[in-house]
Amino acid sequence: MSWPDRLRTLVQEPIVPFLIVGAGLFGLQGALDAKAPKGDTQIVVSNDQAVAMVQAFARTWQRPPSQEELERLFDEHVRTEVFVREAMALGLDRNDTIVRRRLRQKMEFVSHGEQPLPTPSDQQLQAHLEAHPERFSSEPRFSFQQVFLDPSRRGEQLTRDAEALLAQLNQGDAAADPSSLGDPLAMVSASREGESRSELLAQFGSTFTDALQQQPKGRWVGPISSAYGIHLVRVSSIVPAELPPLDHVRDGVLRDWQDVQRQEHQESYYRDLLARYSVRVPQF
Amino acid sequence: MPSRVRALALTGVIALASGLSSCTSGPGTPLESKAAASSVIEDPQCASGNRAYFGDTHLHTALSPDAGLAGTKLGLDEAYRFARGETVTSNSGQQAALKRPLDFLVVADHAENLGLAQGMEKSDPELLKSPLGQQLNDLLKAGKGLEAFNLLVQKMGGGRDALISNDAYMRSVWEYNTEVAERYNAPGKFSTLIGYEWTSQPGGGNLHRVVVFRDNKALADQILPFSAFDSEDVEDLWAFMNYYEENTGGRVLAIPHNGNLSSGTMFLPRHQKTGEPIDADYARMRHRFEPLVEVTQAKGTGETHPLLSPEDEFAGFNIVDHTNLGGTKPITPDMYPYEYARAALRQGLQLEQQLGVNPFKFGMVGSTDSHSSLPSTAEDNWWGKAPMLEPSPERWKDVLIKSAKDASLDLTALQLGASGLAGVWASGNTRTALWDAMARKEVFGTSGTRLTVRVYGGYDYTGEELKAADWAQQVCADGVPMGGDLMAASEGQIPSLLVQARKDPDGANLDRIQVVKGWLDADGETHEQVFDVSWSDPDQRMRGADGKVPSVGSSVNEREATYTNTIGAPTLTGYWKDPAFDPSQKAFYYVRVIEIPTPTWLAYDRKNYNLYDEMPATAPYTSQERAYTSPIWYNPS
Repeated sequence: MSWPDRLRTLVQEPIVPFLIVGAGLFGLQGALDAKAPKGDTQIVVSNDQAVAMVQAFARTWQRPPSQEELERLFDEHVRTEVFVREAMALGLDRNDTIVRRRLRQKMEFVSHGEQPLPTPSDQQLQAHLEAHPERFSSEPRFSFQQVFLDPSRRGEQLTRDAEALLAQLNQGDAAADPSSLGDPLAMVSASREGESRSELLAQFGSTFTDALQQQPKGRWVGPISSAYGIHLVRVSSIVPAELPPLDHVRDGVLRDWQDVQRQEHQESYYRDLLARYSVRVPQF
Repeated sequence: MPSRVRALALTGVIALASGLSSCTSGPGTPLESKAAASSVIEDPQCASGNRAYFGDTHLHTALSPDAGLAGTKLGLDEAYRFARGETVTSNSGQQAALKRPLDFLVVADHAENLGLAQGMEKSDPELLKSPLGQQLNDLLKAGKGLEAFNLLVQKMGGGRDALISNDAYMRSVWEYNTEVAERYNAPGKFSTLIGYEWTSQPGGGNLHRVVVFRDNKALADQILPFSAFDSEDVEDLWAFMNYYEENTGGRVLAIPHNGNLSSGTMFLPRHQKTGEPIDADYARMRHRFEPLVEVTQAKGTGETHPLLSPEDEFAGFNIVDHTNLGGTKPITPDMYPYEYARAALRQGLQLEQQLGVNPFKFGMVGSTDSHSSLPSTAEDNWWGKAPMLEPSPERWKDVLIKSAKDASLDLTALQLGASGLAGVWASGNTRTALWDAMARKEVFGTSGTRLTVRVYGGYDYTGEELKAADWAQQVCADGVPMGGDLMAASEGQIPSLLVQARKDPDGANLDRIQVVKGWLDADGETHEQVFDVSWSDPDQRMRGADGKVPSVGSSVNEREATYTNTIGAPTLTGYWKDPAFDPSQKAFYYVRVIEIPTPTWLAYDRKNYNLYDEMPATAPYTSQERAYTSPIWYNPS
């Protein structure tokens, strides 16, 4: 994407009167000579335009403009109009990457609005849903208990402690309350119910979350590692990701389907336009 | 002057735009919405839950004119989808996905000419009501597309063109924005907050604010975004925000960013219009409407500057400050004090002394300001600041902002950081809970990492509290969280902080926890000091004679863009009691957490695209990512 550098200035700015800036950048002294303009030399501020300006002013300031302010609004409008017309007359709008890009963008939007989107049948929506499970599936949910062991506290004893704790937990020892065993891990509780995968990623990281998915259920196993240390875990249930029935996600599927239609429509619109042209590009 | 316009202008009998008139003459909406607005949490001390939520408060889509011009094709849907973890096709045709979803997102498109290009998308009936819209439509229907666009280009001068000053049209774009936000808002899972950006930059000095609503579409639709076309003076923005709150019962806040590109104006305590020193009214309004500052983002980090904080060895992080946003003025030393958060927090203590209210009493967040609909901050998965900065072998050479005056004022890709994120200690992942946490400043900002940090300040802490897994719940009633206020100490009381930091679970270990203190002395001068509170491997890393903790070292292989977590600590806790506390002095304390060194996006690019022969040896290939918490203020009686 190589644009003329001078135009890149504009990219970061909220819409600037870029034709004027362009004129400045091109250093068109010629443009500044007061020549007789070509074409339409009338500038008319219509009643409708004036009302719109007054309304915009009033919306901002909660009062109508004074005579003087109104005249300033008109002056500003006229100044812009003069520069724009002169810039157009000089052809500053042609060969301007930004103007070209903008026009293309607008053309693409116009093609959007050209025809109303068709209404899909349930079968079409169902097919779309099944074609894109990654967009509409629920997250897997995990219910489990965990006991944390902190390597910085236990050092050399870490593995041995983990084995001893594991044995204690699996004996079903009534005293072995997971919430009172092991080391505290701030803001992480011992029992988790129906925790989503993304929640676990945020709390424990991906290594732990992926390992948890592989563990057998119903007994204490481990240790498995997290970002913070090692954990003994007892998984009670994992509800896998599932594709919800269409009725639960109808709006999302419809929106998505329409997006696809729009893109296809836009592509065919372009193809139709392209068909009017013969195109030659250099062969390498 | 046409008689009809004169009559309107001079008699004041004017139909105000629907956005504002509906509040006063609409069918009863204000009262209903006031009743519907849920109340802000009663007990702010213990309002937060057991985790921080990470999100971006500052993202642009193709609806922003500058983004559209730069070639952003992705719109609102793609932005929300990407943020919630889906794969989308990027502007440059690549498959883009976050490794972990964000918890929330504020789309903050520029209010100025919001969605001009998209207006055509729906052949908007409102657009067709304006004479120009009708003209355009006729030309289009006659197959004269290019003529139509030439006509439109003519109207695209500075300021509001005829199309955009048609309020009804702008309304349709704003309502589209709020509609999509509603569609993607999934309480408990992924929150969308309605927002926009007010893009004021008089003379090229960046005074931008992101405006964030607490409310839903029904309330936000009662206004139209107040833009820099309406006024470039921030006091007018606050007046508008005040108007919104009074008339809808809703709540709204504004977050300034990039003081580093403001030519010394972001925290300059002067009225923009008159240049006179600010008064108590100004201070009250700023205090009320600007509880946060975005201190780190792609275009630089604004915590502090090495020249302002010469004693702070970590001050030189991602400094971008040679010019302003327009590339029109070089920086001069007198500007620095009015561009950076720490200096502004200090100045706030002075101003509070003079005016009775602190205009610069803000918490800190990070955000992306990405203009490509893709909010990303991972160094090894950075989708850039704008479409031409999406991953490619060329992007390191790019110039984001080309100065019209002087190449030395360019803002280049090499200066950009893959920053930042907002961490929010909310009671849950909902729009209102997140907004309330922002309003009470229980937030922190990171340079893009998802490390979490929690702080409580009080007079009775011993440090033992940190041993419990649920320590925060146990101590919150006896102190205040980040963003809070400590009231005057009784005889013999000294404030202490409890701090806990946890690494990004998929990221780098932590180097250290620091406390940054600022205070106002009896002579009216302010001071700052940085304290190391806790650090990894304290047995090997002893504090030196100079009081400094030795460097954590580095495990980075810059050439290979790798590092190992063999240094640093996965978690750190800290108990810090102010060693130089004077109960008569105003002060603030905030926490900074530093990670071990890791490769930057430039190092990953160099490795991935094999650019060893091309990329400059001096580029920043290593950095220490970090987090900044909101301060806790100490207020003598």
